[in-house]
Amino acid sequence: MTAGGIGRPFARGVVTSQEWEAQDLAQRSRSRGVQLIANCPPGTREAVSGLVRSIKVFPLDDVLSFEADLYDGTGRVSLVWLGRYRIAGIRAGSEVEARGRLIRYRNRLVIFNPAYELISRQPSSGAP
Amino acid sequence: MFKQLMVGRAMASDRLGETLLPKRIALPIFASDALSSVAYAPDEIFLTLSIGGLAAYAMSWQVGLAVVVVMLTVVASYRQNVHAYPSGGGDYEVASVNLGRRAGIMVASALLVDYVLTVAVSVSSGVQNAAAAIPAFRGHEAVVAVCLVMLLMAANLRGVRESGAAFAIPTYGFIIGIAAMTGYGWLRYLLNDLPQVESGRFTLAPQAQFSGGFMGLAAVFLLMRAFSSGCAALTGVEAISNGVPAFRKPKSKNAATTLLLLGVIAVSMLMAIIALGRRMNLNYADDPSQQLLLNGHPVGPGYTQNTVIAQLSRAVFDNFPLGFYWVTAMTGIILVLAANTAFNGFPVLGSVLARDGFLPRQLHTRGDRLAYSNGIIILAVMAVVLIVAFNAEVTRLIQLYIVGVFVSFTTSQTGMVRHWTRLLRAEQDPEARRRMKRSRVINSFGLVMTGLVLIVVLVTKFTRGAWIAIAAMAVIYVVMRGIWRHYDHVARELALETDEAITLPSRVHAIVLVSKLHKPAVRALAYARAARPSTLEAVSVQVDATDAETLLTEWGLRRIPVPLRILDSPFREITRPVVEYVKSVRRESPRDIVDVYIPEYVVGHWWEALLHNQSALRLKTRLRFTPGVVVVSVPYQLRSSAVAARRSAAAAPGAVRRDQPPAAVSDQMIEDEYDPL
Repeated sequence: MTAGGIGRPFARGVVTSQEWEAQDLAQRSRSRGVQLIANCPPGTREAVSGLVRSIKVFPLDDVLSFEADLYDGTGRVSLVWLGRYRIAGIRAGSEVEARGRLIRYRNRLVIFNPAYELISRQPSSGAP
Repeated sequence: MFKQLMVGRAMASDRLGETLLPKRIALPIFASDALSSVAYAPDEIFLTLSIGGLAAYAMSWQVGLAVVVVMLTVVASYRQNVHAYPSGGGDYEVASVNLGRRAGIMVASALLVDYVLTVAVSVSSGVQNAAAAIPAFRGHEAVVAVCLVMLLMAANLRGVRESGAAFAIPTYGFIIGIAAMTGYGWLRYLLNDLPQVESGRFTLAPQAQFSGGFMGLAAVFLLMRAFSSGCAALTGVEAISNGVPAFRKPKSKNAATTLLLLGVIAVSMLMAIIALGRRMNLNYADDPSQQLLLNGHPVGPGYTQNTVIAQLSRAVFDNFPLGFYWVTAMTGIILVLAANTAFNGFPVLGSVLARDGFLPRQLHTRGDRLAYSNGIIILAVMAVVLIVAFNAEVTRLIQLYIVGVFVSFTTSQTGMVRHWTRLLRAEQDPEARRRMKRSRVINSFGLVMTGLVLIVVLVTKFTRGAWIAIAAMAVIYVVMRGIWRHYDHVARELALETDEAITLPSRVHAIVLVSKLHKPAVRALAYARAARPSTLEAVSVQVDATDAETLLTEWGLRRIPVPLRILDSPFREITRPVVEYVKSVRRESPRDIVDVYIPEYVVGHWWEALLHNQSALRLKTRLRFTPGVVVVSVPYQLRSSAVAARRSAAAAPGAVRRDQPPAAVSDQMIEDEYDPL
């Protein structure tokens, strides 16, 4: 969903909760001043922010990695930290701003070892 | 344990079909239904004629003779049937093969209704006869009849072993009893010693419409009614055509001979009873309280009218009460046996119909409890409904009975005529052609007769209750045709195209759902790894943040060699995040399959099932509509499930037929934990 297309669902008069959520997230990204994922071409250094939809741990010595799936209403990007089992504070439902080079890896957008910042946690993931 | 013993001892009642029968045993088994109808056919004739008063009674032997003619015609026709179709499919097969599917369904629905009525009429008549010997039954016939039906149902559910002797003794006993009764009666008649029956002291008054005399169109109509009621004597004749495979070789010939024997015996008994009844001044009335006059006054509702056989035997054997009890007892037993054959035939017919796709397919498995116990229960319930609705009054139930029988007679005779015509087109040999033509003439004659009787039955009985039977047949017809259509549509939808390309997926992504790290989750992970998928991932939904933390920590501590993904759940639900994730995996690689492994708790009690697996069930249902997704249930048997395992192993009576002992589920099997890591 491009920035220009956000107005259309309102014109239809009916918005699904997913569309509403997507618009809300995109709005928050814009208000933070970062790029929307849909507008980031691979290969560039960018800052993006959004909601962590899922995290993935892999506790084997040689391939220790922690992954967080970021979604900002317009697209998905996987934040991958190599050599780390957990990143404290990043959970499913956290809001995160990440900075790094976007790479196209196996048909997904990935940022390896990004610089990140935790934004205030969403209350929907349960009590802090 | 006790139940296993019982189930182990009882045999499936169709074992009978596996031992070939000599004629002397086959006759009682297949003839019990037909002969038992001799118990109520003469009653019906006298009763209907009584409406016209004594003048109508004088026509009783002519009516009987007409019934005899039809009976012999039907016997002759069915002798052709058993030669042409020795596979035992009976009327259903003849109609389906020769007249098509729709005729087959029509015959099947007539037969199904017929079976129900056989039970209702036979049991009611048995109770009626028994009430003569056991006065305690009077006034409570419906209750006793219902109890008898329940007993029959229980006996058949358990699996009654039908031995030849169990049938032979009462049937031959009945034949001997009636023969003795009529023989002795004729002897006494010749010696001028024949007494009157108990109703002989009455005079018979006609009902209102015939008070002016028995004549005109009304008289003709009444005669037709009596004739169509008397045709109840023909019910059961077709049973032999269903049982040809059970005869010893040469099967068709033996079956045909048995049919002839049956016909002759039944006809003789019928005429003998009618003749004797007339000689002994029998007055059997439709409305005894009004029509039976003692010294000019109606006897009123206090008088109970006994059946014809009961009255005759009591009078003929008036100085030999054992004779009376013998005849009544044998009559009662043979009626019960006739009802029992319906309990065997109904599920078998249901199974055949299921095989052909007219009833739910699962009824076709013969060893399965389903066809037999459900069929038996449905039959018993329907018979009870009828008995209660008609208060076990045989006369009223017979109005429904005959129409089904003659529908299937007429249809099968039409089928036979078609059969011979079809064969004659191809046959060259003049000897064979002559035989076929002769058979065709016999079947044509049979067709005309049964068709006429069917019309008479419809005309005379429609308003009196036959419409119920016809409505039931229509409903069953529509349902069966609907079922067949559905199966046909589905089969066409699923059929492979001529050049069906079977494309193989390239990879399998396995996802194992875990909620916490416990034994069932570990088992699911192990099984998923054993399947060697292209990628493997454990997935958990974060409903509670602390639980997710615990899971992550434990995962790391135990160094589980499978990546764990935790999904966000903004609305505290499990189903949607998982389905969304699965869909996203499918979107990324559309040619790959996703296997979703879900641990499932196996519990022993129904109430436990309410407490577990609910989310898993919901998830499975949602995933069912996602293409390219396979859901794998990994069961984990809780200790309490041993109860359920024992229960399900002992339950199937099919295991008895296959000579398997019930599976022993030991607690040791539950204890042996499989620790994959």
